Amino acid sequence: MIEMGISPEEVAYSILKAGQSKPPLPRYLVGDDAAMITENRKSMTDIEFKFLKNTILNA
Amino acid sequence: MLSLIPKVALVSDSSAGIGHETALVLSRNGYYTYAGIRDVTLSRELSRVAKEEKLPLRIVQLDVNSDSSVNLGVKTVLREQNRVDLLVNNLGYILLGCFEDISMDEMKAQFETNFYGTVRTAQAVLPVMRKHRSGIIINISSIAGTIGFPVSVFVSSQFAVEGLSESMRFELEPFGIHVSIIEAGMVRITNFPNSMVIANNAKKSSSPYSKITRKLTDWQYRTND
Repeated sequence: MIEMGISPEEVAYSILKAGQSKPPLPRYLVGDDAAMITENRKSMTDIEFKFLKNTILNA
Repeated sequence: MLSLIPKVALVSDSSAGIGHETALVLSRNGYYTYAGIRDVTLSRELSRVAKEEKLPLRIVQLDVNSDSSVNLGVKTVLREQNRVDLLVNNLGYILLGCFEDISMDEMKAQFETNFYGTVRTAQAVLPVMRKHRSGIIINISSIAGTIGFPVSVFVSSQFAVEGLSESMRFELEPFGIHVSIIEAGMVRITNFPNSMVIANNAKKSSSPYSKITRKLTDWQYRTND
């Protein structure tokens, strides 16, 4: 997770993609960790997700 | 028919990190880009790259915490281009610390930059976007805008940006204006003192939250190794 920090340039290219889209999507997830956390948030219960967050923070 | 007029972009907080890279990427890809920078003495590197690559990029003084600075900055863009096609509202900064450790002044400062900064620039460009019945506003948030973490006030400011962006999207669509949110995960940060601030009480070893704050601070440092 820690090694997965994305570069500012990667965010910048997502902004370019959004700017060139007609129309742009409501939201763009950037980075594997953002996608993973969002996916888990959708599929897990609050208790399961709290456990995951604690695991990440204690890593 | 393809338009030969380059699109005009305004990017807030372009002195480093995401804003700096966004200003460069947009100007390399057909946008006449105005890089908003609070302290223009921090624009040397951006100006150097723009000059070296002959990019259509201009520095404009823009402090998102100030009504007069934002209005003047946008006025400069409109005087020269008469339009803004793309506004990129940068993230602001991360206030590290748990809720009880953060003073009201620190909370207000966090919201002033992260939330009201976004509000200010968006309100300044909307009249011209409505006039042209076209425009895109991209608000940079983070995954912390959707999920709670032990950085309560930063997370709250990001939730506020999320709610604002979703609502603006509804309100502005009839005028041909689109609003998007960028939800980034962990981003490597190059300008630590400007992009991350530790609340005063959170720095104290006597804080009941010192363990968790230290863990988060170490985590951020390690992420940026």
